Amino acid sequence: MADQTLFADEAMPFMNQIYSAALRMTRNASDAEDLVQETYLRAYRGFGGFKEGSNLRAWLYRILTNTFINQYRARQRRPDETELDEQEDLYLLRRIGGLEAVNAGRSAEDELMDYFTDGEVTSALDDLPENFRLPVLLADVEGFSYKEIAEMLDVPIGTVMSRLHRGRKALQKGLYDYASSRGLSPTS
Amino acid sequence: MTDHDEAHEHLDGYCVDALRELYLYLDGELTVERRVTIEVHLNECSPCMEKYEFEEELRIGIRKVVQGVEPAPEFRGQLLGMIDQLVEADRQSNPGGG
Ligand SMILES: [Zn+2]
Ligand SMILES: [Zn+2]
Repeated sequence: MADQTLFADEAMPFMNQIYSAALRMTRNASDAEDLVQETYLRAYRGFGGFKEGSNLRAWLYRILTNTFINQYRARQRRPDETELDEQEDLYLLRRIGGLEAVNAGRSAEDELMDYFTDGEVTSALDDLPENFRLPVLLADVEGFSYKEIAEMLDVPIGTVMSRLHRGRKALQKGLYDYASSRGLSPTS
Repeated sequence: MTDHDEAHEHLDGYCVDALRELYLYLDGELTVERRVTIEVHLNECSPCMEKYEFEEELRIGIRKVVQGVEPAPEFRGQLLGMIDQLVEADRQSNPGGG
């Protein structure tokens, strides 16, 4: 059983990460602050039941995800369970892969990310319907396993995998569409 | 590195396997045995390596953008204040406990 007086020391180091995930879930700063506050409130109350030595980060994200799904989804008139069209595999590589090697002397991911502004990256993520956005965020950004994501979202592992499959391709198409509407030239 | 053309890419069973398992690999969901098999293949197949590297770089880039956002400077203090109040309320309702 974890000591609640230690809660702040143990949980606060994850706050920036939790906030950045909350921001991509809610898509605005004020709701993200509310969501983080509610997450930390629930986590504090539940901290007595947290098993010392187990994964605190995963435990906090589980509370974050549950809180988001229960509170914020309930507010929406209609849950955001849109389907996505199937896109081509390796959508982005097939379109900009060849262009990349042009700039020498920079790290590979900086070179690739030169094609998109930060705003385009967040917009492309935010454009994903929630049932695809959450798995992509939890896997690609937060690095959780399929099993952990399935538990957080309360869906079967196969559903996590199929949503990741479609969500990632839709994200790549979104990135490409934003960049190509600007003429697809590197942004720096 | 082996010389590859596009036709070879589609005929080579190792390439087909490597591409099918690309995301499982990046997601850390393969057995050690499959990981090693794929890594051996990537080291001798530059077209597959290029695809793996591209997807990995894209993921790292997206992660940097998402995680590069910080809350307003006063937010940390607000959150700590909330936790202090919770701790204090617990202490008052349970004096000497803990
Ligand atoms: Zn290959
Ligand atoms: Zn080959």
